[in-house]
Amino acid sequence: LEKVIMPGDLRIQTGVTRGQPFQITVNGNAVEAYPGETIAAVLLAEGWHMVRHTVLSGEPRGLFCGMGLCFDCLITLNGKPNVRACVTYAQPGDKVERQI
Amino acid sequence: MSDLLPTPLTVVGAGPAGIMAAYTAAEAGVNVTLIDDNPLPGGQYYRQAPPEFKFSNPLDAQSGRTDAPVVLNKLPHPKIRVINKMLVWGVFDQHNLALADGEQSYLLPTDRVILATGAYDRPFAFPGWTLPGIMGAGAALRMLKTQWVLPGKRVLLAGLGPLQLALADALIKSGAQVVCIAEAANPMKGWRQLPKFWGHWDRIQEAVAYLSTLRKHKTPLLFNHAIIGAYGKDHVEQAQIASLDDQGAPVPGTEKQFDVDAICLGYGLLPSFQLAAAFGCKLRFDQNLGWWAPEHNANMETTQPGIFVAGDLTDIAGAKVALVEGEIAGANAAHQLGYIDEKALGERLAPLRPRLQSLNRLANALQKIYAFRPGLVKAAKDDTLMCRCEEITFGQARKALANGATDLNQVKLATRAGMGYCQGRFCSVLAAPLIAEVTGQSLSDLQPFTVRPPIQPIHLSVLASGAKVKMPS
Repeated sequence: LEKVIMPGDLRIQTGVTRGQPFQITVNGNAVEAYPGETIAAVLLAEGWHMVRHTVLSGEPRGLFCGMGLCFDCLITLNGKPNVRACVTYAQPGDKVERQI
Repeated sequence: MSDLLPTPLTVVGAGPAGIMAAYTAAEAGVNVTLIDDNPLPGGQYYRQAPPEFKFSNPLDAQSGRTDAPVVLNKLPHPKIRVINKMLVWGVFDQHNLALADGEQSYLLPTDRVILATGAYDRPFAFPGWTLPGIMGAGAALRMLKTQWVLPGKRVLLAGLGPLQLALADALIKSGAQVVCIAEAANPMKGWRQLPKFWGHWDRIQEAVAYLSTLRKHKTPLLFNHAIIGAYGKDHVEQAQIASLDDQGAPVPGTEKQFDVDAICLGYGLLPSFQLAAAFGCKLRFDQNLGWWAPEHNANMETTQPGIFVAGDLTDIAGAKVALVEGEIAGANAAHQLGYIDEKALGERLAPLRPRLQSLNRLANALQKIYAFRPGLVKAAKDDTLMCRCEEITFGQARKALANGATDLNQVKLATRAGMGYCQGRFCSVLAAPLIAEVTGQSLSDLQPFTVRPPIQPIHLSVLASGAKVKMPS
């Protein structure tokens, strides 16, 4: 999770008002998240398309099914491994780490 | 944590079908438990945005669909206990549902069951398809409509069917550029189905609105094209599409390149039949889908007495069909439990049958126009990953077949394809056509992977906690 691939924010701004943002960390980097956002949404919005490398070949993976079925978006959350970023809501102070 | 009385009816899945099923039975007087693994009811079609978001158009909180409030406002209901964020991971003795909520597992006894477990994006394999930035069309729609985050800024859509137009429309209106829509259907093949659209003016209107958005933004919509490659280092940077021959196979020399930062794959949906299979319900091979779905009768009852199905789980016919099927399943379950007598049931079902028939005619026409043509699997090469979880290529599966494997379970044992996290939901549909081709069987002669509990991975600590059976309050 070290590479920001897109400058700027992918959050849609018109038609929606989000709550007060809070901070989480992604591999030690402070990242802003909004209440109600999944960790996958925070990562995507902030420009991290890649979520992890695979165990065998080390190829990059990101969000794929977006509904908790494919397990491609696995992260380590607050020390707990194999958490699906797409179905997990961000909480203030969350520590997100890349698995491999 | 308090003990909770089991209800005579449990509905699994709170999408259009599940909500209608639960509501119909509840209105008849049945106490219903409605279980769903999402934080809010609605399923994928009426997926609700997080309550923390505020919208200038209040409808956007409820998926933005005009009919969403009518369906979603059936909950809460005094006779329906809704349990969100709960996975049903198996069934024991046909009447004990095994549940897990991320912390611990539970056993819920029940009498009758209605399964409305929905569907998921059909995987489509081609060189580079595992790159970050390439996601299911459903995943992109969920990101847009519930999280209000774009999948990318320069997006290519590749797939089959009207969902692509809906997604393109949503992307463009949200500020993304749709660089191309590669539609694999060939309109010259589908025109015979057009009379079946007669009377379904709302659907035609919807399509016309989407097409007008595309025209206004000069978005190229290429029929008879499919994605055949994606390139990039840590994320997708380029997409390659090609035109298709009669069978749907890519034609060499017709490739086109697009610079992108996201690709959305919408090659149709597949029924989430795993729980139905765990119940022992017989699966039938659906010719339109080219895949399996639970068999059911006109009352939506499966081959297992007292176990019903409804919605996309049964045939990918969309939300309108799901609502009617849910109603039929709910009324029949209530009848079996003694809450609706024979005569009242007949009266209840009479207007639903012709409505379902008319809706199914349209769904069937759409399935035929947007059928998954057999040549489309040629987009994948031998070194393309077939199983994303265990990282098994089509070539490895081919080798297992050369060594004597003849079905999905044998390919799984020989290669590990299907043993990973997704439990074969994605690779089985990619492996099956290859097995059929190499072994000379037809796809319908094969059987899907054997389903065993847990039907979705759960932590061992969660499983172990089930030793002390508790019910969620």
